Amino acid sequence: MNARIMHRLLMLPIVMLVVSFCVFVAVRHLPGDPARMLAGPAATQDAVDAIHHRLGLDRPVLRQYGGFIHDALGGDLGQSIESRQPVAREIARHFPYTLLLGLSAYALALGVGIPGGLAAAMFVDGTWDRIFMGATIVLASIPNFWFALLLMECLSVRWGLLPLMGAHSWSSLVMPSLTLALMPMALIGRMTRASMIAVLSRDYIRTARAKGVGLLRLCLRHALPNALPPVITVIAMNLGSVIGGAVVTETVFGWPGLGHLMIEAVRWRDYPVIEGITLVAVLSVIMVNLGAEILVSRIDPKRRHG
Amino acid sequence: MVTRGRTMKRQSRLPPLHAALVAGLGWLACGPARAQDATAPDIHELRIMQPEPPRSMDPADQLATDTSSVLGPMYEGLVSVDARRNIQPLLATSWTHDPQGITWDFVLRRNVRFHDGHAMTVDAVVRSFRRLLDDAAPLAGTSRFRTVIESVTATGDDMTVRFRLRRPYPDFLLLLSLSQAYVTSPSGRDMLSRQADGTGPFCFGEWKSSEYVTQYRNPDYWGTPPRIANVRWTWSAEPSVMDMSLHAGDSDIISSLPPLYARQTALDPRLVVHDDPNGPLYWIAINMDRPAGADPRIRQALGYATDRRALVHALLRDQGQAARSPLPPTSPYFIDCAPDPQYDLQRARALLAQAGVRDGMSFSLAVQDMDKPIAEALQDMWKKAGIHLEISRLEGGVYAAEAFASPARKQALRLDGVLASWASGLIPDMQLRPLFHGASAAPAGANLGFFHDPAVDRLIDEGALEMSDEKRRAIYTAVQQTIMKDAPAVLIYTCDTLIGMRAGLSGVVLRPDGALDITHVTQLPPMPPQHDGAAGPVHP
Amino acid sequence: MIASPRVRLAHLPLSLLVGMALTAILVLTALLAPLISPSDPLSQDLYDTLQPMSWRHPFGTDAFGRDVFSRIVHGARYSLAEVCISVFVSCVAGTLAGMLAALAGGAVEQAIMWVVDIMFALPGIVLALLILSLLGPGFLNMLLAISLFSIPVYARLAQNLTHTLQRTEYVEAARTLGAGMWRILSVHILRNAAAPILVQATLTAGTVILSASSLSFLGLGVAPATPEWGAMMSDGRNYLGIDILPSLFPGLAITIAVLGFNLLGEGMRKVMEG
Repeated sequence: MNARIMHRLLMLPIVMLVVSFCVFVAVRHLPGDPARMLAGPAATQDAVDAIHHRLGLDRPVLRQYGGFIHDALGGDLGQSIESRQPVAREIARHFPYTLLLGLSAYALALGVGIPGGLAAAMFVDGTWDRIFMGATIVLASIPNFWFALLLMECLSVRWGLLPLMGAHSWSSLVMPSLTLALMPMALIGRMTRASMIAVLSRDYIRTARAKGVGLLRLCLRHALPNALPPVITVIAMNLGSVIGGAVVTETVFGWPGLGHLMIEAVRWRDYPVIEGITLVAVLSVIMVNLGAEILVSRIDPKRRHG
Repeated sequence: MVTRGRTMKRQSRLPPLHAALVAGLGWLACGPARAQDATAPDIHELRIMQPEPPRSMDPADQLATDTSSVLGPMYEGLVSVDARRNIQPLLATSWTHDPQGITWDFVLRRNVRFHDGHAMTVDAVVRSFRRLLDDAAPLAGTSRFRTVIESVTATGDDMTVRFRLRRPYPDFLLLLSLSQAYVTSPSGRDMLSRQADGTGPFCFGEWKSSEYVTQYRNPDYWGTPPRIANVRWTWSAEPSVMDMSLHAGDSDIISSLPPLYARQTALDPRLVVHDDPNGPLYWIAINMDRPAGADPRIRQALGYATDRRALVHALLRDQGQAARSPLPPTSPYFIDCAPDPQYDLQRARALLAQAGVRDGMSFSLAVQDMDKPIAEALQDMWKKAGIHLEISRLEGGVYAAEAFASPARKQALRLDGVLASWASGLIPDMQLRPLFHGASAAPAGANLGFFHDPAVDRLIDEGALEMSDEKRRAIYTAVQQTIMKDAPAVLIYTCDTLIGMRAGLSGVVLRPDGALDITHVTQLPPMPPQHDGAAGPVHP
Repeated sequence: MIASPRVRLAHLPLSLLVGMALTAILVLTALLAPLISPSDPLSQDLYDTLQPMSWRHPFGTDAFGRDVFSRIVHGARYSLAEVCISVFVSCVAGTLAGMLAALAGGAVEQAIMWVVDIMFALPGIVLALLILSLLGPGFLNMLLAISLFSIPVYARLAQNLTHTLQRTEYVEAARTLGAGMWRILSVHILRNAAAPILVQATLTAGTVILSASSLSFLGLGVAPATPEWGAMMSDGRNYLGIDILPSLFPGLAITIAVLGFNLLGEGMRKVMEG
């Protein structure tokens, strides 16, 4: 187990290098020109060329990449073309918002998904199980931006309960986190249920049950810890699609996180920012998956002993 | 009342989120609001939402209307133009010019300071303009001014600046009133693109890209102090979000309210809509180098196949006008020279048949994301005349690159036309020259279809130099008629600028260049009791 | 042995039946679109825009005066095409890659799974944004982008399945009898792996529709005027607050279609697991 994690850690820099190169080359071949956008539609070709030169975009791509890697190793991700701020600072400014949104969405998803799935597993094929399973599959089928639009229409426009968009107060967080929580909530709920059912059918649980241990106590103390590892793995594996959901959610709600920044950066052809955000996203996906693996190996009694 | 209660609640809840982010993640918040001065303003914070974010805080390096609106409160030019297009003194108190109109002397206002504390001197003004005119480091506004102004120098007098023009330019004062000619502080030059530094009634607070720009009242302003303590600019490309933001009380003013929302906004007693006919002109520049553009009959057929009234009705909810000239109807030189009827499907088909188009033709059009509805409506309209419209919808940056592409590149892209809009009707020369003069053919200018008619070029050149208003009128009438006859473009419509705002605000002005001027906004006294819907003053 | 169809049907899970019914509705709607829809989904009436529900326009009209119901009906074709093409491409590519990797083993397996890992680490939306910005928006380009980012799922599944099946006795037997790699792959492994992969494909189908509508929503999808549900909703959001209908119905249609595939996949898995 440790060897595998070490192996993954060693691969990390290589993966980052490959991804950064692919993205670096790809963004520079996107149609459109950041210099043209910066200069405005009425600018002359000379003005555009001058900006190209200032940004170093007139150099060969490989040399630009070399320069980027050289700077990146020193912790410098370059300068945003649009805002002329260091990319690292731009990311540091927007990242907390995405983190906050992600954490609150996951808190919501876990808070509903785990107890719900647990209850469903305790009474398989009972009324609650049927309702819960039906609800999760419907939740997983709703397009998140449509849900967002309905929330905005009802909670904000019709009833005026919550601020429409932006990040002005804690109440601004409600609708985006609800939207983003939909998918992981369904996933966690279903996974908890499936995993719990598997654990509950094991011999030692049956034995404990035969000995008269209460069902609730049995589930919480004995079964749940054993049922969690697959849930953790699923959460980690679906981080990528949650990031995708975050891009859409942040765009709809004008939430000033990395997803919003990414869409803006693509629109502006802000190469260094696109590059920076992609690397952050890839790094967090890898790290979270790695972290999940370590966590699972720690808490899973089966693997700990085996 | 409900609005106000929510607003206050939100403000009181504002700090914890930021505080938590700062404490938890070490992110630095900055820009504390200034303390209030003696003459208490009656609006604590004016919140304005626009469709587009500002491009730059440097007035010389931007050409977008929405950017100009944000910069307006912080900067001032030598002169300004009021809503009736009269020139008013601003940083210059008076001016004189020689009989030829080549040399202009401006006497500067005394005791004016930039926000950084430096005095506004002749030297500062000269440096500000030299920066704008510097060909070695061209800014977005440079070419527009360089073609007119040759040099800007100090005179012996300590408060007089001298402009030398390349040739007489009848609209020189109007040109100086444009936002690119705002006077910037000499000490701010390197940071200007991110931090505004001018002489205006509001100081720059903070610009968070993709979030907001804040401004606060300039305590040392030379003129009448504004009645607003803080200004906050936000933006959203989503029309529904702009509308909801106004209805939910998150914004006080929406510059350019989407036409679809205007009617229901007007029905809300808490809100008002201002409808200003001054707005951009939309047109399709036809590529003269492609088969469709080469034949005048096909170009005219495209015009006849376009039902402008239906477009104005459906897309603008009748808050605009069908284009009947290459100049906007708000221009003093506008004449209606459209054929009657303008929409004539029979005629369009007949013209196409004359041009040898028997089994229909296809026309490829480059469209910016947000102008997609026009193209979508045209697609179905032109289909009835046997024209298949291929829409290539492009993001802003790609659009700009393709729209301003050279003839060879457009040939390679097989681009028959470009849908574009232009909002510079203030000076006729700044509309007709970039769009229809042969020397402005893309990529040099906004003549996106490479229209070239020596007669039109000559008339445009003459019109720019003609000092007599009567002769000028005759020249511009001829230009408009020739362009309408040649049909190098399908002129579509001009849309009104709709400003949605909270009832009880007064003093919102739309400047002739289309930018919003909020510096004179005040809170009206509370409405008489029978209008209970209106919000009361924030500081009674 | 021979049970009456009614009994067998009753033994099937409810989710499978509902899923089958919803999917059948989608397929039928797509096939019979011209017969069902009362009017041309592209024909506009600029003087009859944003109308409420009526007998003539069951779901109202959109901002161009087009009949929303007809557009939804025709949109089923696009959704079905999205599912068929994307799922097929990613399923075939991913399965082949995963199986070949497992069969070849060693450095080849390392290399293939390494590429898969990298693709997996790149969030799908980032990949799609880049691909679509590179190729330009369009229906087929969008499908390509979606196919690309679902490949890793199939590759991993196929790799695991192949490893498991390789250890089974009959594959070992076939190998000792001298069967070639292709023969083992096609006869023994593919046949046994087909069912789990099919279940995965059904489960992915819903995600494909959701991804496609997200991309259309971000303005990277189909050409203007195309009655694709995501694009319709994206247009409809411009009239939110005035008229909810143009975005309500496409969203509902997406939800129902995705729900159909999700239930179908869920039901199939239940049947397989016994």
